[in-house]
Amino acid sequence: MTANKQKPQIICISSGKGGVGKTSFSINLAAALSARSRRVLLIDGDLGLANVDVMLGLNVRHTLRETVEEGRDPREILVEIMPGFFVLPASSGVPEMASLSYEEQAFLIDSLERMIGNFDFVLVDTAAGVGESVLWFNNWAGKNITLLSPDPTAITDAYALIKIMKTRYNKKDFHLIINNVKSRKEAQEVFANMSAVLENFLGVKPWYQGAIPQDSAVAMAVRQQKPFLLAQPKARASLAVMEICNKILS
Amino acid sequence: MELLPLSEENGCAPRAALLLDRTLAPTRKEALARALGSGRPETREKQRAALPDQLSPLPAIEHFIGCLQAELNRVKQTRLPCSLLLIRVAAPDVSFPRQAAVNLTKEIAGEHHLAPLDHATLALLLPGLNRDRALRQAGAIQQVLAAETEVRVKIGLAVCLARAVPAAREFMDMALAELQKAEQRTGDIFYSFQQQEEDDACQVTPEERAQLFSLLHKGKKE
Repeated sequence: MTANKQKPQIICISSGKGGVGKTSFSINLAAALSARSRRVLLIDGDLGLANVDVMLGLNVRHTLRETVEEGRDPREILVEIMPGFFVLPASSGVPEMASLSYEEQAFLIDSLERMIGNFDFVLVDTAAGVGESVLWFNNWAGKNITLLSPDPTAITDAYALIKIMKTRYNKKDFHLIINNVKSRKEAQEVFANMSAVLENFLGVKPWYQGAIPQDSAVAMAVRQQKPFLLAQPKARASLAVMEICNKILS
Repeated sequence: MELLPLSEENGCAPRAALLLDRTLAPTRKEALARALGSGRPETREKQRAALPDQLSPLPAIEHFIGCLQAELNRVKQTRLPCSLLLIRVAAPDVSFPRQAAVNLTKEIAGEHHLAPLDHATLALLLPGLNRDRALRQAGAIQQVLAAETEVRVKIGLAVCLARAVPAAREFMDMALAELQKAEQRTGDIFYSFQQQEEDDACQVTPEERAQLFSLLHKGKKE
């Protein structure tokens, strides 16, 4: 008799603009989900300029580059960060990995699909921009989280990414997280404005996934190469990530 | 027993076959490895079976349409692209398709399908080739044929991606429309590629930007 095992939930975390906090949010969300006894795989989707390993203070020897170029089983490059929290690191400074051919993309996705069955959640921290890898990771995922901050550039780039995903891939469900906000009110205003434009021009009604306040604990944790959720669990940003985590689980 | 290597790992075709005995002739073994490695078993045999007569080296167009539909189904399955070239010479000649097939031997790989549409036009199906690679291939083909036939060669190219796979006839029409553009205009190779149109459609417009920033402007005024 076979177990009735559900597929893991694949969540893609993107922003369009760089420096909005995708990687920091991704590793903290992964830590939060694993603290809730879920098995989580975090894939560094910035295949040519990886950062997840840096943010976690890892010194990795094997990366997804070897999966693409040599056919290495991704299971062999998995790094366990804490019980239930695993990372698939990518390479840094490899431009070829940032522009994979269709054949390589298909092979990578196929390799990943073969190994994610044992996880409850698969998080993909994508590269900045709207490059091919960002688009096909977003297309692959069942849930799309778009991170934006109140900056005009971040708002425009997040909108551009959503527009591409809607127009080109007919994606309709987008979950927005407003990062680096001064107050809950500011987050709600940014979301309301973005939501109005998305509805007006694209017919898309986004979901409010939450907000993360400005917090010095974030920058401090980045320098310490630790998730802020673990370094300072009572920090405002940590509580916000836990709230988002609970929302995802509910 | 013997392990017969077939292909590099590509997620679409088997990597090796295990032969249980050694009864296969080396040439037959080689053909089998090539066909299995491409993920399209016995393509050449099927093509030969579909030849309209003993004199023509090319299969009938009906067979080609069948191959085209099969390849389009593979695009959906493997998410790899597929390109179709329609190649037309300015001076039609009954011997053109046969002669072109001979001239293009070096340009056409085992898994490619070539068939005549009429005395002036050939259809060439390029499985797995994206726009850039198909355009390079089209350029090479045009050079070879133009040098051999000494007449102008026009090419229409359609590229199929997994996100929008048309029916075989519709895909042919897309390539035909590009061929007609090539015939009417000064350029020799025209192509239709969905992404180009989508890129324009995805651009953030001034109206969208204005509304995106309205909140910020409102905040400044206040």
